Amino acid sequence: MPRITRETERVLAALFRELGDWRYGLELAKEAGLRSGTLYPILARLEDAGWVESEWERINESAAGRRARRYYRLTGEGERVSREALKQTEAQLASLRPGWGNA
Amino acid sequence: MIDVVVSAAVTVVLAWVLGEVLHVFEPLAAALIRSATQLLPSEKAARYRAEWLAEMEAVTGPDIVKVRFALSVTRGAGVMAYEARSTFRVPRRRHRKALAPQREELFAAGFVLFVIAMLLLLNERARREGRPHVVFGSRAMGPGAKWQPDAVIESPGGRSVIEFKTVARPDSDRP
Repeated sequence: MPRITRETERVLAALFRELGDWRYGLELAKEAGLRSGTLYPILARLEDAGWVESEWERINESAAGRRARRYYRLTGEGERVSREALKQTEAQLASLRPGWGNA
Repeated sequence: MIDVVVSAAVTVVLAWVLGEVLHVFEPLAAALIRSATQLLPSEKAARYRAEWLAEMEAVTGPDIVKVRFALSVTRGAGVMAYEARSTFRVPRRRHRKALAPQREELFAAGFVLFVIAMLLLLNERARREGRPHVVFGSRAMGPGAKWQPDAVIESPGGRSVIEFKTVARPDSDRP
């Protein structure tokens, strides 16, 4: 099971934002605010853990004039883990702001 | 020294502009990606090579940004290779053709070598022209001695040449 670091959480949040939609790496890197060199090892770990699934874009490369991209999205398990991780982060953030919980 | 720094900056900017005009950066980035994926286990190398080349094409902006992308995924490939406990290996015979550098990649590599050679030349010029006295003086003079201008000679080209002589410190026991 991959460790959920701050960067991993950002990737999960980016994938969670549009659940069910297929997203490619560059798009995710921009949204998560990470460099590609950080994103791909995280995606590989998430994929190995079964939290993320990926598939090749189905296009005619010569007609489209570009190479097919690899698309990613959360699996059911990934969705559950992301939901929990994001909830935990929110709770941690709330505990860092004194007075919020006392109101 | 400042003129050398300016020359180096101009060389880098010129190399950048020339690289953009000659479309050198995209094949250079492709070459980087190809070599980076060689670090990965064979079952993953082909997939990530195709994926990153497609992503590189999608990168917008000047071509040099593609090199930055390639450098970034090279770092990522290193991390992934480490996690897969794979080591660097020489490509097997059947992969050699697919992984062999293409002509434009060799051209890009030549361009990079040319830029590096220019920068090394500038560095050598800086070493020779910018600090001759320091280098010479540190070898030829003992402690306490100092340089003193002896004469300024005007060359026909209008460039001043200052000649120095060694003056021993009064309390020095050197002859």
